[in-house]
Amino acid sequence: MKNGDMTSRERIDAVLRGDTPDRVPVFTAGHGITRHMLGVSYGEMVQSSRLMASCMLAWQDLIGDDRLMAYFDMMVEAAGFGMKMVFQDDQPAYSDKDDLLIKSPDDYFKLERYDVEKAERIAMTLEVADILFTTRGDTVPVAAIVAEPLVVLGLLRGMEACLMDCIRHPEAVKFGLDVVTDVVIDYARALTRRGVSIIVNCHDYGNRSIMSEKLWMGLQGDHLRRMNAAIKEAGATLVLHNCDANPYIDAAFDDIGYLDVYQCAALPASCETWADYKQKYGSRAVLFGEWWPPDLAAVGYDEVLARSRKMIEDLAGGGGFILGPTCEYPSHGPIINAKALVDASRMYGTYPR
Amino acid sequence: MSDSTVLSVIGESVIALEEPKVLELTRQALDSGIAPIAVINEGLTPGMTEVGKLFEEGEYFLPELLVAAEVFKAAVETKGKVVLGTVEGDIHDIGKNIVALAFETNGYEVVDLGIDVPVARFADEYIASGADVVGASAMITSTLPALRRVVSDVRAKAPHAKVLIGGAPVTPALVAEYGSDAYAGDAIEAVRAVDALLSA
Repeated sequence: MKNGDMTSRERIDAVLRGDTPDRVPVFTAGHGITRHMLGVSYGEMVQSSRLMASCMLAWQDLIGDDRLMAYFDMMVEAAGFGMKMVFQDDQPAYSDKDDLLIKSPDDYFKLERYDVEKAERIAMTLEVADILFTTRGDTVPVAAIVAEPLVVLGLLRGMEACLMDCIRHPEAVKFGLDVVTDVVIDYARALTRRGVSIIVNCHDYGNRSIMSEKLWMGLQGDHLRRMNAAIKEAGATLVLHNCDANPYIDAAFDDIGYLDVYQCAALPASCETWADYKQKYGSRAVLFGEWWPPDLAAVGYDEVLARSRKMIEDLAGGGGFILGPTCEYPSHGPIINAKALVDASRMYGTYPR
Repeated sequence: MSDSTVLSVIGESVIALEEPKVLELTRQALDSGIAPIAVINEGLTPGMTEVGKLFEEGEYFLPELLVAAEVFKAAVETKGKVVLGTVEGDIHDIGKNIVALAFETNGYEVVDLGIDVPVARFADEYIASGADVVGASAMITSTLPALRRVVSDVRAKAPHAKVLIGGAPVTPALVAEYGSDAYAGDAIEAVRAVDALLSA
Protein backbone atom coordinates (compact mmCIF):
# COMPACT_ATOMS: atom_id res chain seq x y z
CA MET A 1 0.00 0.00 0.00
CA LYS A 2 1.29 3.46 -0.89
CA ASN A 3 2.35 5.70 1.97
CA GLY A 4 -0.48 8.12 2.79
CA ASP A 5 -3.28 6.13 1.20
CA MET A 6 -5.13 5.56 4.45
CA THR A 7 -7.12 8.02 6.49
CA SER A 8 -6.15 8.29 10.13
CA ARG A 9 -9.18 6.23 11.10
CA GLU A 10 -8.26 3.49 8.63
CA ARG A 11 -4.67 3.61 9.84
CA ILE A 12 -5.66 3.18 13.49
CA ASP A 13 -8.25 0.53 12.69
CA ALA A 14 -5.60 -1.46 10.83
CA VAL A 15 -3.17 -1.28 13.73
CA LEU A 16 -5.84 -2.33 16.20
CA ARG A 17 -6.91 -5.25 14.02
CA GLY A 18 -3.33 -6.48 14.02
CA ASP A 19 -2.84 -5.61 10.36
CA THR A 20 -0.10 -3.37 9.01
CA PRO A 21 -1.27 0.13 8.08
CA ASP A 22 0.27 2.28 5.32
CA ARG A 23 2.59 3.80 7.94
CA VAL A 24 3.07 4.05 11.69
CA PRO A 25 0.30 6.23 13.19
CA VAL A 26 1.28 9.28 15.22
CA PHE A 27 -0.51 10.52 18.33
CA THR A 28 0.37 13.87 19.88
CA ALA A 29 -1.78 16.45 21.66
CA GLY A 30 -0.70 20.04 21.22
CA HIS A 31 -3.74 22.13 22.02
CA GLY A 32 -1.55 24.03 24.50
CA ILE A 33 0.40 25.30 21.50
CA THR A 34 -2.37 26.00 18.99
CA ARG A 35 -4.25 28.09 21.53
CA HIS A 36 -1.46 30.67 21.05
CA MET A 37 -2.14 30.69 17.32
CA LEU A 38 -5.83 31.25 17.97
CA GLY A 39 -5.14 34.01 20.50
CA VAL A 40 -6.76 32.12 23.35
CA SER A 41 -5.53 32.06 26.95
CA TYR A 42 -5.27 28.68 28.71
CA GLY A 43 -8.05 29.74 31.06
CA GLU A 44 -10.36 30.63 28.18
CA MET A 45 -9.55 27.42 26.34
CA VAL A 46 -10.39 25.12 29.25
CA GLN A 47 -13.69 26.87 29.93
CA SER A 48 -15.11 26.71 26.43
CA SER A 49 -15.99 23.58 24.48
CA ARG A 50 -15.93 25.51 21.22
CA LEU A 51 -12.47 26.98 21.84
CA MET A 52 -11.03 23.67 23.03
CA ALA A 53 -12.39 21.86 19.99
CA SER A 54 -10.96 24.60 17.76
CA CYS A 55 -7.52 24.20 19.36
CA MET A 56 -7.64 20.43 18.91
CA LEU A 57 -8.73 20.69 15.29
CA ALA A 58 -6.09 23.33 14.57
CA TRP A 59 -3.41 21.01 15.94
CA GLN A 60 -4.63 18.16 13.77
CA ASP A 61 -4.63 20.47 10.75
CA LEU A 62 -1.12 21.63 11.55
CA ILE A 63 0.54 18.33 12.40
CA GLY A 64 -1.53 15.65 10.74
CA ASP A 65 -2.09 13.87 14.02
CA ASP A 66 -3.90 10.55 13.69
CA ARG A 67 -6.19 11.25 16.64
CA LEU A 68 -8.34 14.05 18.02
CA MET A 69 -8.71 14.48 21.76
CA ALA A 70 -11.92 15.38 23.57
CA TYR A 71 -10.19 16.57 26.68
CA PHE A 72 -9.95 19.46 29.12
CA ASP A 73 -7.95 18.10 32.04
CA MET A 74 -7.76 15.18 34.44
CA MET A 75 -10.20 16.75 36.88
CA VAL A 76 -13.55 16.64 35.14
CA GLU A 77 -14.81 13.63 37.12
CA ALA A 78 -13.74 15.21 40.42
CA ALA A 79 -15.33 18.52 39.41
CA GLY A 80 -18.59 16.65 38.92
CA PHE A 81 -18.55 15.71 42.60
CA GLY A 82 -18.29 19.41 43.46
CA MET A 83 -14.54 19.92 43.65
CA LYS A 84 -13.64 23.57 43.20
CA MET A 85 -11.23 24.43 40.42
CA VAL A 86 -8.86 27.33 39.96
CA PHE A 87 -8.38 28.57 36.40
CA GLN A 88 -5.26 30.37 35.26
CA ASP A 89 -4.42 32.44 32.20
CA ASP A 90 -1.32 30.58 31.06
CA GLN A 91 -1.35 27.24 32.85
CA PRO A 92 -3.70 24.30 33.23
CA ALA A 93 -6.42 24.57 35.85
CA TYR A 94 -5.90 22.93 39.20
CA SER A 95 -8.05 21.84 42.12
CA ASP A 96 -8.52 24.18 45.08
CA LYS A 97 -6.51 22.45 47.78
CA ASP A 98 -7.72 24.92 50.39
CA ASP A 99 -11.29 23.73 50.07
CA LEU A 100 -11.22 19.97 49.66
CA LEU A 101 -14.48 18.09 49.28
CA ILE A 102 -13.44 15.14 51.45
CA LYS A 103 -12.25 16.63 54.72
CA SER A 104 -12.27 13.47 56.83
CA PRO A 105 -12.49 9.71 56.27
CA ASP A 106 -16.22 9.86 57.06
CA ASP A 107 -16.75 12.09 54.03
CA TYR A 108 -15.94 9.23 51.63
CA PHE A 109 -19.28 7.73 52.64
CA LYS A 110 -21.08 10.92 51.57
CA LEU A 111 -20.04 10.59 47.93
CA GLU A 112 -22.95 9.92 45.59
CA ARG A 113 -23.09 8.81 41.97
CA TYR A 114 -24.13 11.76 39.84
CA ASP A 115 -25.64 12.23 36.39
CA VAL A 116 -22.62 12.76 34.17
CA GLU A 117 -24.69 14.44 31.46
CA LYS A 118 -25.55 17.20 33.96
CA ALA A 119 -22.06 17.67 35.41
CA GLU A 120 -20.76 20.90 33.89
CA ARG A 121 -17.18 19.98 32.94
CA ILE A 122 -18.07 16.46 31.82
CA ALA A 123 -20.90 17.89 29.73
CA MET A 124 -18.41 20.32 28.21
CA THR A 125 -16.05 17.45 27.36
CA LEU A 126 -18.94 15.58 25.77
CA GLU A 127 -19.66 18.68 23.72
CA VAL A 128 -16.03 18.78 22.56
CA ALA A 129 -16.40 15.14 21.51
CA ASP A 130 -19.56 16.03 19.61
CA ILE A 131 -17.85 18.87 17.75
CA LEU A 132 -14.76 16.82 16.90
CA PHE A 133 -16.71 13.77 15.79
CA THR A 134 -19.16 15.79 13.72
CA THR A 135 -16.39 17.83 12.11
CA ARG A 136 -13.84 15.16 11.34
CA GLY A 137 -14.89 11.86 12.88
CA ASP A 138 -15.27 10.15 9.53
CA THR A 139 -11.54 10.32 8.90
CA VAL A 140 -9.92 10.86 12.32
CA PRO A 141 -10.81 8.86 15.44
CA VAL A 142 -11.77 10.83 18.54
CA ALA A 143 -10.17 9.85 21.85
CA ALA A 144 -10.86 10.89 25.45
CA ILE A 145 -9.31 10.31 28.85
CA VAL A 146 -10.91 8.92 31.98
CA ALA A 147 -9.24 9.04 35.37
CA GLU A 148 -8.12 6.21 37.61
CA PRO A 149 -10.73 6.16 40.42
CA LEU A 150 -8.12 6.46 43.15
CA VAL A 151 -6.77 9.59 41.48
CA VAL A 152 -10.25 11.13 41.60
CA LEU A 153 -10.38 10.43 45.33
CA GLY A 154 -6.90 11.94 45.65
CA LEU A 155 -8.18 15.16 44.09
CA LEU A 156 -11.21 15.27 46.37
CA ARG A 157 -9.30 14.45 49.55
CA GLY A 158 -5.80 15.76 48.79
CA MET A 159 -3.20 13.29 47.62
CA GLU A 160 -1.30 12.91 50.88
CA ALA A 161 -4.37 12.42 53.03
CA CYS A 162 -5.81 10.01 50.51
CA LEU A 163 -2.64 7.91 50.50
CA MET A 164 -2.69 7.77 54.28
CA ASP A 165 -6.37 6.80 54.21
CA CYS A 166 -5.44 3.87 51.97
CA ILE A 167 -3.62 2.42 54.97
CA ARG A 168 -5.62 3.81 57.87
CA HIS A 169 -9.16 3.74 56.46
CA PRO A 170 -9.24 1.27 53.54
CA GLU A 171 -12.97 0.57 53.88
CA ALA A 172 -13.78 4.26 53.50
CA VAL A 173 -11.51 4.48 50.46
CA LYS A 174 -13.12 1.39 48.93
CA PHE A 175 -16.57 2.89 49.38
CA GLY A 176 -15.36 6.00 47.57
CA LEU A 177 -13.86 3.87 44.82
CA ASP A 178 -17.20 2.09 44.29
CA VAL A 179 -18.96 5.40 43.70
CA VAL A 180 -16.22 6.95 41.57
CA THR A 181 -15.94 3.83 39.40
CA ASP A 182 -19.68 4.00 38.66
CA VAL A 183 -19.26 7.63 37.61
CA VAL A 184 -16.23 6.93 35.44
CA ILE A 185 -18.07 4.09 33.70
CA ASP A 186 -21.09 6.36 33.10
CA TYR A 187 -18.71 8.97 31.70
CA ALA A 188 -16.98 6.47 29.40
CA ARG A 189 -20.34 5.25 28.09
CA ALA A 190 -21.45 8.83 27.46
CA LEU A 191 -18.24 9.49 25.55
CA THR A 192 -18.79 6.52 23.26
CA ARG A 193 -22.33 7.76 22.59
CA ARG A 194 -20.72 10.98 21.30
CA GLY A 195 -18.52 9.11 18.84
CA VAL A 196 -15.42 8.64 20.99
CA SER A 197 -13.83 5.38 19.90
CA ILE A 198 -10.60 5.47 21.94
CA ILE A 199 -10.65 5.81 25.71
CA VAL A 200 -7.44 6.36 27.61
CA ASN A 201 -7.28 5.33 31.24
CA CYS A 202 -4.40 6.87 33.17
CA HIS A 203 -2.88 4.71 35.88
CA ASP A 204 -1.26 7.56 37.76
CA TYR A 205 -1.02 5.72 41.07
CA GLY A 206 -0.06 2.33 39.60
CA ASN A 207 3.68 2.69 39.89
CA ARG A 208 6.53 2.41 42.35
CA SER A 209 6.76 6.19 42.86
CA ILE A 210 3.38 6.22 44.58
CA MET A 211 2.37 2.96 46.23
CA SER A 212 3.06 -0.74 46.37
CA GLU A 213 1.49 -2.97 43.77
CA LYS A 214 -0.14 -4.95 46.56
CA LEU A 215 -1.87 -1.88 48.02
CA TRP A 216 -2.79 -0.49 44.60
CA MET A 217 -4.31 -3.71 43.33
CA GLY A 218 -5.78 -4.62 46.69
CA LEU A 219 -7.74 -1.39 46.86
CA GLN A 220 -8.90 -0.94 43.30
CA GLY A 221 -7.93 -3.96 41.21
CA ASP A 222 -11.59 -5.03 41.07
CA HIS A 223 -12.67 -1.50 40.23
CA LEU A 224 -10.20 -1.20 37.35
CA ARG A 225 -11.28 -4.57 35.96
CA ARG A 226 -14.94 -3.52 36.14
CA MET A 227 -14.16 -0.20 34.53
CA ASN A 228 -12.11 -1.67 31.70
CA ALA A 229 -14.71 -4.34 31.00
CA ALA A 230 -17.39 -1.64 30.75
CA ILE A 231 -15.27 0.46 28.39
CA LYS A 232 -14.73 -2.54 26.13
CA GLU A 233 -18.41 -3.44 26.31
CA ALA A 234 -19.23 0.09 25.16
CA GLY A 235 -17.20 -0.63 22.04
CA ALA A 236 -14.20 1.59 22.67
CA THR A 237 -10.53 0.87 22.21
CA LEU A 238 -8.86 0.94 25.63
CA VAL A 239 -5.49 2.64 26.03
CA LEU A 240 -3.72 2.24 29.36
CA HIS A 241 -1.39 5.11 30.08
CA ASN A 242 1.20 5.28 32.84
CA CYS A 243 3.40 8.33 33.23
CA ASP A 244 5.86 6.90 35.71
CA ALA A 245 9.19 5.21 35.09
CA ASN A 246 8.24 2.10 37.07
CA PRO A 247 4.69 1.14 36.13
CA TYR A 248 3.01 -2.03 37.31
CA ILE A 249 2.85 -3.23 33.75
CA ASP A 250 2.28 -6.91 34.44
CA ALA A 251 -0.62 -6.09 36.73
CA ALA A 252 -2.08 -3.98 33.92
CA PHE A 253 -1.71 -6.80 31.38
CA ASP A 254 -2.34 -9.88 33.48
CA ASP A 255 -4.42 -8.93 36.52
CA ILE A 256 -6.56 -6.09 35.15
CA GLY A 257 -6.60 -6.84 31.45
CA TYR A 258 -8.85 -5.69 28.59
CA LEU A 259 -6.26 -3.28 27.22
CA ASP A 260 -5.75 -2.76 23.51
CA VAL A 261 -2.95 -0.20 23.63
CA TYR A 262 -0.27 0.35 26.25
CA GLN A 263 1.62 3.61 26.73
CA CYS A 264 4.36 3.89 29.32
CA ALA A 265 6.79 6.68 30.04
CA ALA A 266 9.95 4.61 30.27
CA LEU A 267 11.26 1.17 29.57
CA PRO A 268 9.63 -1.17 32.12
CA ALA A 269 12.00 -2.71 34.65
CA SER A 270 11.17 -6.17 33.32
CA CYS A 271 12.68 -5.32 29.91
CA GLU A 272 16.32 -4.85 28.90
CA THR A 273 15.72 -2.95 25.66
CA TRP A 274 12.85 -1.54 23.63
CA ALA A 275 13.20 -4.48 21.28
CA ASP A 276 12.82 -6.73 24.32
CA TYR A 277 9.72 -4.73 25.34
CA LYS A 278 8.28 -5.25 21.87
CA GLN A 279 8.97 -8.96 22.03
CA LYS A 280 7.48 -9.34 25.50
CA TYR A 281 4.36 -7.20 25.18
CA GLY A 282 3.99 -6.40 21.48
CA SER A 283 1.92 -9.46 20.70
CA ARG A 284 -0.51 -8.62 23.49
CA ALA A 285 -1.20 -4.95 22.82
CA VAL A 286 -0.37 -2.11 20.49
CA LEU A 287 2.55 -0.19 22.00
CA PHE A 288 2.45 3.61 22.07
CA GLY A 289 5.33 6.03 22.70
CA GLU A 290 8.17 6.32 23.44
CA TRP A 291 9.13 9.98 23.43
CA TRP A 292 9.69 11.49 26.87
CA PRO A 293 7.90 14.86 26.44
CA PRO A 294 10.70 17.09 27.82
CA ASP A 295 13.04 15.58 25.23
CA LEU A 296 10.72 16.73 22.47
CA ALA A 297 11.13 20.26 23.76
CA ALA A 298 14.89 19.98 24.12
CA VAL A 299 16.23 18.49 20.90
CA GLY A 300 16.16 19.61 17.27
CA TYR A 301 14.23 18.35 14.24
CA ASP A 302 17.01 16.07 13.01
CA GLU A 303 17.38 14.45 16.41
CA VAL A 304 13.64 13.81 16.56
CA LEU A 305 13.85 12.14 13.18
CA ALA A 306 16.85 10.03 14.21
CA ARG A 307 15.43 8.88 17.52
CA SER A 308 12.01 8.24 16.02
CA ARG A 309 13.64 6.10 13.37
CA LYS A 310 15.25 3.98 16.09
CA MET A 311 11.92 3.68 17.92
CA ILE A 312 10.23 2.58 14.73
CA GLU A 313 12.98 0.03 14.10
CA ASP A 314 12.65 -1.34 17.62
CA LEU A 315 8.91 -1.23 18.04
CA ALA A 316 7.04 -1.06 14.75
CA GLY A 317 7.94 -4.39 13.16
CA GLY A 318 4.80 -6.15 11.93
CA GLY A 319 2.61 -3.22 12.99
CA GLY A 320 1.32 -2.74 16.52
CA PHE A 321 3.02 0.58 17.20
CA ILE A 322 1.90 4.20 17.55
CA LEU A 323 4.62 6.86 17.61
CA GLY A 324 4.26 9.80 19.97
CA PRO A 325 5.14 11.38 23.29
CA THR A 326 4.46 9.35 26.41
CA CYS A 327 2.23 12.13 27.69
CA GLU A 328 0.88 15.46 26.44
CA TYR A 329 3.11 17.20 23.90
CA PRO A 330 4.99 19.91 25.85
CA SER A 331 3.13 23.20 25.61
CA HIS A 332 6.45 25.05 25.22
CA GLY A 333 7.76 22.54 22.69
CA PRO A 334 8.60 23.50 19.11
CA ILE A 335 5.85 22.73 16.60
CA ILE A 336 8.46 21.52 14.13
CA ASN A 337 9.33 18.62 16.42
CA ALA A 338 5.74 17.41 16.44
CA LYS A 339 5.81 17.64 12.68
CA ALA A 340 9.07 15.67 12.75
CA LEU A 341 7.21 12.77 14.35
CA VAL A 342 4.84 12.61 11.40
CA ASP A 343 7.73 13.11 8.98
CA ALA A 344 9.61 10.25 10.66
CA SER A 345 6.57 8.04 10.25
CA ARG A 346 6.38 8.92 6.55
CA MET A 347 10.11 8.48 6.00
CA TYR A 348 10.86 5.42 8.11
CA GLY A 349 7.54 3.98 9.24
CA THR A 350 5.97 2.73 6.03
CA TYR A 351 4.81 -0.88 5.59
CA PRO A 352 5.61 -3.51 4.52
CA ARG A 353 8.75 -3.35 6.59
CA MET B 1 9.89 -3.82 80.39
CA SER B 2 13.34 -2.31 80.73
CA ASP B 3 13.98 1.16 79.36
CA SER B 4 15.88 -0.22 76.39
CA THR B 5 13.09 -2.68 75.64
CA VAL B 6 10.44 0.06 75.79
CA LEU B 7 12.47 2.23 73.44
CA SER B 8 13.04 -0.70 71.12
CA VAL B 9 9.30 -1.47 71.02
CA ILE B 10 8.56 2.18 70.30
CA GLY B 11 10.87 1.98 67.29
CA GLU B 12 9.30 -1.27 66.10
CA SER B 13 5.84 0.25 66.47
CA VAL B 14 6.87 3.21 64.33
CA ILE B 15 8.04 0.78 61.65
CA ALA B 16 4.75 -1.12 61.92
CA LEU B 17 2.85 2.20 61.58
CA GLU B 18 0.98 1.53 64.85
CA GLU B 19 0.16 5.09 65.84
CA PRO B 20 -1.90 4.46 69.00
CA LYS B 21 0.75 2.07 70.31
CA VAL B 22 3.56 4.55 69.65
CA LEU B 23 1.72 7.33 71.46
CA GLU B 24 0.81 5.11 74.40
CA LEU B 25 4.34 3.73 74.80
CA THR B 26 5.83 7.21 74.43
CA ARG B 27 3.56 8.51 77.18
CA GLN B 28 4.44 5.52 79.39
CA ALA B 29 8.14 6.02 78.77
CA LEU B 30 8.01 9.70 79.71
CA ASP B 31 5.86 8.95 82.77
CA SER B 32 8.39 6.35 83.93
CA GLY B 33 11.17 8.92 83.84
CA ILE B 34 12.88 8.13 80.55
CA ALA B 35 14.34 11.39 79.20
CA PRO B 36 12.46 12.84 76.20
CA ILE B 37 15.69 13.00 74.23
CA ALA B 38 16.20 9.27 74.80
CA VAL B 39 12.67 8.54 73.56
CA ILE B 40 13.46 10.49 70.40
CA ASN B 41 17.03 9.32 69.81
CA GLU B 42 16.73 5.69 70.90
CA GLY B 43 13.09 4.93 70.14
CA LEU B 44 11.39 7.09 67.54
CA THR B 45 14.36 8.08 65.40
CA PRO B 46 15.71 4.54 64.87
CA GLY B 47 12.18 3.57 63.85
CA MET B 48 12.00 6.43 61.37
CA THR B 49 15.47 5.63 60.07
CA GLU B 50 14.33 2.11 59.33
CA VAL B 51 11.18 3.44 57.64
CA GLY B 52 13.39 5.65 55.46
CA LYS B 53 15.58 2.67 54.66
CA LEU B 54 12.56 0.57 53.72
CA PHE B 55 11.40 3.43 51.50
CA GLU B 56 14.77 3.64 49.76
CA GLU B 57 14.79 -0.14 49.29
CA GLY B 58 11.33 -0.09 47.73
CA GLU B 59 9.67 -2.00 50.55
CA TYR B 60 7.74 1.02 51.76
CA PHE B 61 6.08 3.60 49.54
CA LEU B 62 4.55 7.05 49.93
CA PRO B 63 1.51 5.92 51.96
CA GLU B 64 3.68 4.16 54.53
CA LEU B 65 6.10 7.09 54.65
CA LEU B 66 3.23 9.53 55.16
CA VAL B 67 1.67 7.54 57.97
CA ALA B 68 5.06 7.11 59.65
CA ALA B 69 5.59 10.86 59.43
CA GLU B 70 2.24 11.45 61.12
CA VAL B 71 3.12 9.01 63.88
CA PHE B 72 6.47 10.68 64.41
CA LYS B 73 4.97 14.18 64.35
CA ALA B 74 2.42 13.20 66.94
CA ALA B 75 5.14 11.97 69.25
CA VAL B 76 7.86 14.60 69.01
CA GLU B 77 8.45 18.26 68.72
CA THR B 78 9.97 19.41 65.45
CA LYS B 79 13.67 19.76 64.58
CA GLY B 80 13.07 22.95 62.66
CA LYS B 81 10.72 24.70 60.31
CA VAL B 82 11.09 24.73 56.53
CA VAL B 83 9.20 27.03 54.18
CA LEU B 84 8.80 25.14 50.92
CA GLY B 85 7.32 25.97 47.53
CA THR B 86 7.52 25.68 43.75
CA VAL B 87 8.42 29.01 42.21
CA GLU B 88 6.27 31.42 40.23
CA GLY B 89 5.20 30.12 36.83
CA ASP B 90 5.74 26.50 37.79
CA ILE B 91 2.85 24.23 38.76
CA HIS B 92 4.76 20.99 39.39
CA ASP B 93 3.93 19.78 42.84
CA ILE B 94 4.72 16.06 43.12
CA GLY B 95 8.48 16.50 43.59
CA LYS B 96 7.98 19.32 46.05
CA ASN B 97 5.38 17.24 47.93
CA ILE B 98 7.80 14.35 48.23
CA VAL B 99 10.45 16.72 49.62
CA ALA B 100 7.90 18.12 52.09
CA LEU B 101 7.05 14.60 53.13
CA ALA B 102 10.70 13.71 53.63
CA PHE B 103 11.14 16.75 55.89
CA GLU B 104 8.08 15.85 57.94
CA THR B 105 9.20 12.26 58.16
CA ASN B 106 12.47 13.46 59.59
CA GLY B 107 10.95 15.65 62.24
CA TYR B 108 10.70 19.03 60.52
CA GLU B 109 7.66 21.24 60.42
CA VAL B 110 6.86 22.26 56.86
CA VAL B 111 5.14 25.45 55.75
CA ASP B 112 4.06 24.35 52.29
CA LEU B 113 3.43 27.39 50.09
CA GLY B 114 2.28 25.18 47.22
CA ILE B 115 2.93 25.78 43.56
CA ASP B 116 3.27 28.89 41.37
CA VAL B 117 4.38 30.85 44.45
CA PRO B 118 5.08 34.58 43.89
CA VAL B 119 8.73 35.46 44.42
CA ALA B 120 8.20 37.70 47.45
CA ARG B 121 6.09 35.18 49.31
CA PHE B 122 9.02 32.90 50.16
CA ALA B 123 10.80 35.58 52.19
CA ASP B 124 7.58 36.98 53.60
CA GLU B 125 6.41 33.57 54.85
CA TYR B 126 9.88 32.76 56.15
CA ILE B 127 9.81 35.88 58.29
CA ALA B 128 6.15 35.55 59.31
CA SER B 129 6.41 31.89 60.33
CA GLY B 130 9.75 32.16 62.10
CA ALA B 131 11.13 29.38 59.95
CA ASP B 132 14.72 28.18 59.82
CA VAL B 133 15.05 27.36 56.14
CA VAL B 134 13.60 28.38 52.79
CA GLY B 135 13.37 25.63 50.18
CA ALA B 136 12.52 26.64 46.62
CA SER B 137 11.95 24.33 43.69
CA ALA B 138 11.92 24.96 39.93
CA MET B 139 10.99 22.03 37.73
CA ILE B 140 11.36 23.54 34.28
CA THR B 141 14.15 25.57 32.71
CA SER B 142 11.93 28.54 32.03
CA THR B 143 11.28 29.08 35.77
CA LEU B 144 14.96 29.17 36.77
CA PRO B 145 14.96 33.00 36.62
CA ALA B 146 12.16 33.01 39.20
CA LEU B 147 14.24 30.70 41.40
CA ARG B 148 17.14 33.13 41.20
CA ARG B 149 14.83 36.00 42.17
CA VAL B 150 13.54 34.02 45.16
CA VAL B 151 17.07 33.58 46.47
CA SER B 152 17.84 37.28 45.94
CA ASP B 153 14.64 38.37 47.63
CA VAL B 154 15.26 36.16 50.67
CA ARG B 155 18.83 37.40 50.89
CA ALA B 156 17.59 41.03 50.78
CA LYS B 157 14.87 40.60 53.39
CA ALA B 158 16.43 37.97 55.66
CA PRO B 159 20.21 37.87 55.12
CA HIS B 160 20.78 35.06 57.63
CA ALA B 161 18.15 32.71 56.26
CA LYS B 162 19.31 29.31 55.05
CA VAL B 163 18.23 28.75 51.45
CA LEU B 164 17.97 25.38 49.74
CA ILE B 165 17.30 25.03 46.00
CA GLY B 166 16.31 22.02 43.92
CA GLY B 167 14.31 20.71 40.99
CA ALA B 168 14.90 18.94 37.69
CA PRO B 169 16.89 21.67 35.86
CA VAL B 170 18.77 22.86 38.99
CA THR B 171 22.43 21.89 39.35
CA PRO B 172 24.94 22.23 42.22
CA ALA B 173 26.67 24.99 40.22
CA LEU B 174 23.65 27.23 40.71
CA VAL B 175 24.27 27.39 44.48
CA ALA B 176 27.16 29.77 43.94
CA GLU B 177 25.59 31.51 40.97
CA TYR B 178 22.31 32.27 42.74
CA GLY B 179 23.79 32.71 46.22
CA SER B 180 21.85 29.95 47.97
CA ASP B 181 23.29 27.82 50.78
CA ALA B 182 22.70 24.35 49.44
CA TYR B 183 21.39 22.21 46.59
CA ALA B 184 19.55 18.91 46.81
CA GLY B 185 19.04 16.42 44.01
CA ASP B 186 16.30 14.48 45.76
CA ALA B 187 14.16 14.45 48.90
CA ILE B 188 16.53 12.52 51.13
CA GLU B 189 19.43 14.72 50.03
CA ALA B 190 17.32 17.78 50.90
CA VAL B 191 16.86 16.56 54.47
CA ARG B 192 20.56 15.80 54.82
CA ALA B 193 21.45 19.24 53.47
CA VAL B 194 19.16 21.00 55.94
CA ASP B 195 20.37 18.82 58.81
CA ALA B 196 23.88 19.99 57.92
CA LEU B 197 22.90 23.64 57.52
CA LEU B 198 21.17 23.77 60.89
CA SER B 199 23.91 21.95 62.76
CA ALA B 200 26.70 24.09 61.28
